[in-house]
Amino acid sequence: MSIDALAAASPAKKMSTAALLLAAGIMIQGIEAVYLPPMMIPGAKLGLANSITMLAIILFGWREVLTHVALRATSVSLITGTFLSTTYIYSLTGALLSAIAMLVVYRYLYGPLSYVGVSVFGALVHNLTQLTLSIFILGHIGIVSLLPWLLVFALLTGTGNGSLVNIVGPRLGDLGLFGRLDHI
Amino acid sequence: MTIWDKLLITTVLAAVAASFFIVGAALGGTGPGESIIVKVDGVVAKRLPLGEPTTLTIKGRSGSCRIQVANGAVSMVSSDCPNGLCVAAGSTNEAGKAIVCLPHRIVVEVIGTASSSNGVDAVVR
Repeated sequence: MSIDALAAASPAKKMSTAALLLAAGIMIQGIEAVYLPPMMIPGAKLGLANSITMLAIILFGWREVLTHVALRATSVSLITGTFLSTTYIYSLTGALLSAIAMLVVYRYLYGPLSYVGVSVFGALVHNLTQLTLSIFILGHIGIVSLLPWLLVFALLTGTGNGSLVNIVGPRLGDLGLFGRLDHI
Repeated sequence: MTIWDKLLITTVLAAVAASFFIVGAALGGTGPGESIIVKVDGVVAKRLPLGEPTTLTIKGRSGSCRIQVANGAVSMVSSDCPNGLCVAAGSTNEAGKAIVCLPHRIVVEVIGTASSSNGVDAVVR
């Protein structure tokens, strides 16, 4: 199994795999942030980079995953020019808390739930975090009226990303990226 | 997708349906308002009565919005924010409602008389 192969792999292999995932995450989120038109609902987005976070969850432990999302959010904010702005704060807290939620759900509920369930949890926590944060930042409870729409969006994107990982996750080994190193 | 995934999705869908009603009921309209408050970044920038027709430009975080008071109702007539949701929100005169421009951090709240207030500050579209 590919995941065991990574666990037994050299630090160099682990690092390069982590870098690969980070690059993919930055690419996806960056393109999404720059080129995708704003959705009808403020704050709603595809969150396709979340599927990369899930691959990191499959392959690595919580330390690497949290580092992954923090570095991704920071790198994308540097690309889009929102570093240290409120957008960055939204992005970072949403990414970190949803990653923590997915780590917990993956650890304890994966099996009964597939990656769809894990991803839906992540998306829900992400959107709820950002909504809560925006209430504090804007000092305006009325933003709660966006809640139903953000939940609907979390369901859609969570299911989409989860389905993607349901396909990609089990095939990680087929890529040949996570096989043995000693033949090189 | 497992059966538990589907169960989870169904549960969340039910929660969504419920939240539509709960949010709608909790933040519902409360009758015509009296005045408006314009906030930028949560700080009150302007107070205006709804009775006097006027147009003003408010500078926000990343641009500005034009706010119009006419026929006892307030609306954002134009804004240079990317999504224009505030303009799309149309006009309102209901106490407790609000028009929000998130990119510019501009919030226009309609304030009612004490009797028409239900303790909820605003509804955002």
